Amino acid sequence: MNWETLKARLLPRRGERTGSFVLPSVVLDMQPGFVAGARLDRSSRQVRRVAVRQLEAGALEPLPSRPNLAKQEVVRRAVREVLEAVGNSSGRLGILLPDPSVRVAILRFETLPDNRDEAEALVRWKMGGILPFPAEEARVSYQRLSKGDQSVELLAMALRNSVVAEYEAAFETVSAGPALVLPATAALLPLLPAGSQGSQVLVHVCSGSVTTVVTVGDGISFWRNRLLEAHTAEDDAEVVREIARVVATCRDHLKSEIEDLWIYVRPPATRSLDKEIAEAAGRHVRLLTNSASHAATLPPAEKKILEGFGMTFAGLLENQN
Amino acid sequence: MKVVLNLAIPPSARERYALYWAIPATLLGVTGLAFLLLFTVRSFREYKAVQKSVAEQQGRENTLRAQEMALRKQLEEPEYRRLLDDVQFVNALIEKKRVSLTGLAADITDLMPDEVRLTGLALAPEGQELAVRFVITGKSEEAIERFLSDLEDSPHFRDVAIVNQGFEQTGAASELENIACTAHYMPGESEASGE
Repeated sequence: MNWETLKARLLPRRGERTGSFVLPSVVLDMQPGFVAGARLDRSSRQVRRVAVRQLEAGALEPLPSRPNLAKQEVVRRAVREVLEAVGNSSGRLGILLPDPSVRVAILRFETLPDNRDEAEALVRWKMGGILPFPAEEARVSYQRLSKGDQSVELLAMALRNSVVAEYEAAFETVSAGPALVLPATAALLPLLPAGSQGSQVLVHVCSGSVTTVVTVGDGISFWRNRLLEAHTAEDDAEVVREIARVVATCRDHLKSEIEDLWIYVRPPATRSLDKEIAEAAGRHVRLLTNSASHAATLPPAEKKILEGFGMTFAGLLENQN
Repeated sequence: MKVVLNLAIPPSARERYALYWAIPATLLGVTGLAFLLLFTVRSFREYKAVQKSVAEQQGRENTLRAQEMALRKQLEEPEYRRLLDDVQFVNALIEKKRVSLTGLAADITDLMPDEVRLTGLALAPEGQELAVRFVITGKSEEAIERFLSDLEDSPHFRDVAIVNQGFEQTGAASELENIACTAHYMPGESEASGE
């Protein structure tokens, strides 16, 4: 190891590079209407504690290029209460962010450089076209979905540094930065059944936004996030219309018929949204509930919280193996 | 579907290992600091001891200098001045007494070539110095010239002056030359000049 390599390892890098997936023992899910947190037992893949605190309207406004924490003190208090409830962590936490704060894209390249810096620069450049802020200010991460003879397909995510810094600042008791940062929907993907050859659609309705992901086999062919215009009963109709559009897009452009349609609504829906979606999409809709295998030791009240707010934590545990 | 991406930035090696290295580095630093402190204290003590010793020596030197000045001042007083003159006179007399005619004769004869011989020698004090008068007889003028030249180069004699010169007829063909000289005699001068 020469001096330059040693210096590069020891000194902080200018363009900070993201890492790969790790599962911290405490994860927070910060959404516009609530903050949920869980303590995870990585060895037994169990959720040990889970808690949720409501956030008042307007305290957290998920936007990709502007400050998200409109009422910082309110969010900090909720984070503090959740951490106290699940057990305060002295180590690095994981945070799941609202989907609208993160830009996600499926990118296709003819080839991708083997050099990681060059590949990241290429992905950053390509993501620049869909970012509402300068690409240099983005924190970029990507994973390879498939590699054919003619092309390479990537799932890429970008997040503005100033936005993630705001969320990091909300952990006033934790000195180190987060170990895991993902949009919440990404944490739900591992809950989709593996081995399915057809298309599956995951619909994640969460606090004023809906994210729709279409997966084919082990890959993703479509990812869309849409902010809902109003938080009223009209939301449901807007969600149903959005899903109908996605199903049509899937059929017309992706040339793929949907086999399964999974839905997860947070906070839990009071109306039977799944039936309305099933009617509009012409497909059977299944609720995303796979918490039993990860909540064996939880008391009933926390099990209910996990099902209503914390399936993302179950997804992270599922992703670990 | 398995997710492998992550938007978090992993800690650098420095951040990862800073905590582990903090304790040994601190211990090492504290040990080094303690060593430096002890070394400084010891050096300071040594410096203080040397400073004290120098001050004592300077004090002693000042005392001696003051004593010397007092003695010099005493010597400048009339009764001590007279005593000094007497002492110097007595020393001069002692020095004069140390002059031996045998030594003088030996000093002169060392300078004499074979053709020259000493025929007369007288020694008399002249102020602080010793004046010597001698008469030599030589068979040739060259021998006498050589003797006079050696005499002038000798460290025992200075201010050589010829006071008389004459010739003596000894036979049909030979003639002797007599020279009377005076000089100031400095016994033991060769030893003093390091010869």
